[in-house]
Amino acid sequence: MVSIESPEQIRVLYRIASPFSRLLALIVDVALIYTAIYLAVILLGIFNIIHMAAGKNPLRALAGGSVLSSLSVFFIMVLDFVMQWFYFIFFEIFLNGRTPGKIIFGLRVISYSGKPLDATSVILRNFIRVFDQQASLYLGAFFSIILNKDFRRIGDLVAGTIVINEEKGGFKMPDFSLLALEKEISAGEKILGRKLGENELFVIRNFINNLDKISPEKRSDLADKLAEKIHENLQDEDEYTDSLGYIQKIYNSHKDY
Amino acid sequence: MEGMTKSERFVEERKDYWCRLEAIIKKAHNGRVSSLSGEEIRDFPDLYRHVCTDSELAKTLELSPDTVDYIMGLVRFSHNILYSPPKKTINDIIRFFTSDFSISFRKNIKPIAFVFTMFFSIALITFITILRNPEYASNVLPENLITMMKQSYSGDISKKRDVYSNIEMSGFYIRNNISIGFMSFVLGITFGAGTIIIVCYNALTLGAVFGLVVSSGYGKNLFAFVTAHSAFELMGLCLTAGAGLAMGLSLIHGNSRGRAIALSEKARELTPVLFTGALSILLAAFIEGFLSPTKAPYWIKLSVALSSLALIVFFSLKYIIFKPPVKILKGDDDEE
Repeated sequence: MVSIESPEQIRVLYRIASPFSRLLALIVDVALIYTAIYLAVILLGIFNIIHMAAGKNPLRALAGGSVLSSLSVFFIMVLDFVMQWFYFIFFEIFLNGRTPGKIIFGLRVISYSGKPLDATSVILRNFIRVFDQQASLYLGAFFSIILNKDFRRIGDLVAGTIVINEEKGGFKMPDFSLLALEKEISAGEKILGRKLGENELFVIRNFINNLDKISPEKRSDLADKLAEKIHENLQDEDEYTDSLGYIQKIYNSHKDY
Repeated sequence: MEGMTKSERFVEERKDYWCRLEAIIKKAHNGRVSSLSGEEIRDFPDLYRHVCTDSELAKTLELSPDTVDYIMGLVRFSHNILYSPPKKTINDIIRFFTSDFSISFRKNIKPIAFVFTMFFSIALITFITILRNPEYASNVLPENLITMMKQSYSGDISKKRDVYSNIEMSGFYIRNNISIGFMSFVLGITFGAGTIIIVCYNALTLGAVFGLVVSSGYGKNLFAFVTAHSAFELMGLCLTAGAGLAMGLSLIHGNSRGRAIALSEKARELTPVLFTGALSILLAAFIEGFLSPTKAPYWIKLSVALSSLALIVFFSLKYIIFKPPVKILKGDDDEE
């Protein structure tokens, strides 16, 4: 996790993207770049052949001298150049820090300072990419990522950015309802000297709500262990017989504090 | 509120506006803030500020982990939407290539001037050496390039090329030359060494080709070809490589906040120089593709070269000639 401080001075925790998922995203993006280039080559090639077959002077076309074929060569040269230098920049600017590969693996580039991700940052991180990857045979990126605690490559350091993992499936508002047990326990019966923290209550809530996922043999076993732990933590002197009932009684007694 | 734990009560009290914020986030998730209604846009910053407070409260009150996670999720997504990059207008782009460029140029004039001097002195020395001893050319240029150069400049280049190959060649020049320019910037990250190597290599090649072709007696054809685009192309390379060297130097010198920060700030400051350089090389590629190989009289080519030179000098020194508008001077610039 990395803590980014927003301009409101709220420390927002983000999950740092794993280098492996970033590599996979890179592979997808590079595959898309080459697919686009080769698709253009093939389509223009077919188009040229059709044009040549239907054309008035095929000989001239064969010698490489038609406006269409020259424009095709021009277009592919420029496409190759643009794809190599501006593919990532284009998507990261217009998709707010994401490329198609990053979307697939749930990654996003954000600014390390908590400010908006501006075009200059995107341009710098993707220009230095050429050094990180091709020019240094991926050694620049490799050593930078393993030496940096936030897995930032040199381009990220220069641009002041970081790649994070976005939660998939959106958010879930906490659900406090408790699964009804067979025996109804009246609420707030017991007033205790000490009480459990919200973390412990969360554990209890999770345990009770997931009882049906635990096999029946283990259910009472785990309930005994949990009840014992709670009993110990609260320094409760009263004895109990039914572990599950005890757990729920304790939980209910924490309401209205 | 009866029968609730602390966390539950906290959630219950704020449920309504969290749901509202959640709906806005879902709508605007892919950065399409424009899909929000006016009312939603009006309420969004308020809601964001509320969840910011809630997130700190939840942490202080030590609420249950799922509550804290949920609120932090709301903060994260809203933060991403609220702080998506501002839209650039055409004026921003014009300012980038004029005022921003000339300020950045002025701040980094030393490395740019160094690259300029180095490039032309190496090219000149190589040119003179090879002019006197043409056999040295094989030390600098590969054998096949020597025969190719002699062949291609032995006649008037405008007779060899038709409009079709001009189109193709300008595509090639765009890809090749701008890539070299960008590379000379990027490799500045190797403490400037990569940039110096690119500049030296190109200066050596240029000097050697000139020396070789002139010594073979075809100098007139060569000059007829290169004059028009020379200013834009060489200036462009000097700008991008100068930016790369400035970046390398900032890594060597560092500043009070360390090398990494110094590099990061310098790189940010240099982007106008880099892209003006690239634009200059792009223009050169079109001139090289469509004017240089034509039969146009030499004075036209020369005047294109001179006017492009004048244009570069004007924009480089615009900062000195006209004082820039005050708003361009950002508060966090600590140099000069």
